[in-house]
Amino acid sequence: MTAETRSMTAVTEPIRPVLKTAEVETDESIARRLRDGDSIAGELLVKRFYEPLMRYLQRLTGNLHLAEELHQQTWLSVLDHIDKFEPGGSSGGFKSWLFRIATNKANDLWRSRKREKVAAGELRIMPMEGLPEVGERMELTEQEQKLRLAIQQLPEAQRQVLTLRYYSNLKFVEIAQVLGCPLNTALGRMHKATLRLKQLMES
Amino acid sequence: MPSLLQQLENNEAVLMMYLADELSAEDRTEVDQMLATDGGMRAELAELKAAQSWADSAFRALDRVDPLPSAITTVNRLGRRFRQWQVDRMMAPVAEEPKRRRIKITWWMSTAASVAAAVVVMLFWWGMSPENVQTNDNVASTMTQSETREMNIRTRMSLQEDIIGDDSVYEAEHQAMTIAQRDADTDDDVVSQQGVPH
Repeated sequence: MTAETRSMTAVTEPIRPVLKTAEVETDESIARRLRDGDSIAGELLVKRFYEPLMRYLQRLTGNLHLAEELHQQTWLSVLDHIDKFEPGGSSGGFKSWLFRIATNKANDLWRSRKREKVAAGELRIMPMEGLPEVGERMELTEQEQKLRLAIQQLPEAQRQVLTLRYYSNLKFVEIAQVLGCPLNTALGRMHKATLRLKQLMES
Repeated sequence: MPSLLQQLENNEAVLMMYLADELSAEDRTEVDQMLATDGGMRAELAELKAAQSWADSAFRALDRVDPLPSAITTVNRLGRRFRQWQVDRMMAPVAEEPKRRRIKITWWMSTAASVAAAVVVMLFWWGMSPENVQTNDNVASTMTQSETREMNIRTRMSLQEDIIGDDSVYEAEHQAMTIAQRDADTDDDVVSQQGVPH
């Protein structure tokens, strides 16, 4: 092949769609890169799951600052345990694994708060959950404020299923795995949570 | 293996899975048939559908008025941690091989081992010296010679007895002893020449 024909071939050859490959890369594939030590893959995952994970933690805790703290703890825990993550294993996909870690972090927080309350001698401290935060970003309508409170009034187990379903978009079978409960239990909690929320809003 | 539908405990669970579209085609067809014949189940499905629709819109509305902080700050902050993690990982030493189980050596063990080694070396050295090599050989040969000598005496005496008869026993015995003594003297001379200590 002469230099001229070679250059012509180069011109007529279609450009390889490198970016397109990156766009369709699965969570598990990126997680595998992170496991191999690629920190950029980690940043990509944080970006991808920022909104659903933050929303889930925000609704679960009812507090944005706590949600941010738990969000960070979740990702640091991901780094600590990424070697144990098996994409095709029993832990399900990366999303299930990530939300399970986040749920565990939130549960740890509840437990430590309960201990603090007991240590404080049953003092009634105004709960932060459900109340408007200082420097509220937007004026909430009465209805929205009511909804916030209603979510926080749900039993913890029901709130977990409801918010997990809504923000993670995981299947019920996966949600049951994340929460470590039978499928029927997860479905029952979801059913009760939905009806209870509606009831609270109408009351 | 039972289908997913058979594993569900009640109508609520069945309808939740039906609404979420998480049933297989076969199970879905079966639920459709149940709904076609059961009015109460249809009403329950309608209620559930309305409640879920309401919850969806409520969450969406809440998210609209409750914006999250920018993702950039969080991503940058976590990105720094990730890069540090990557560096730490690269700098981490290669995992060492599992250590072999070691016996703790105490002072008396090492002393005893030294003494034992010294004794072994001395014995070896003593055993390998030319004098001792000869001694050992001569001990063996001396024993053989004495045994042979004794045997010779007995043989000769019995021969004399057979040939000469009872009257000449004393004479034959004396002769045999003389021969034996002469042999012994000859052996002793050989041994003396080889330097065996007496």
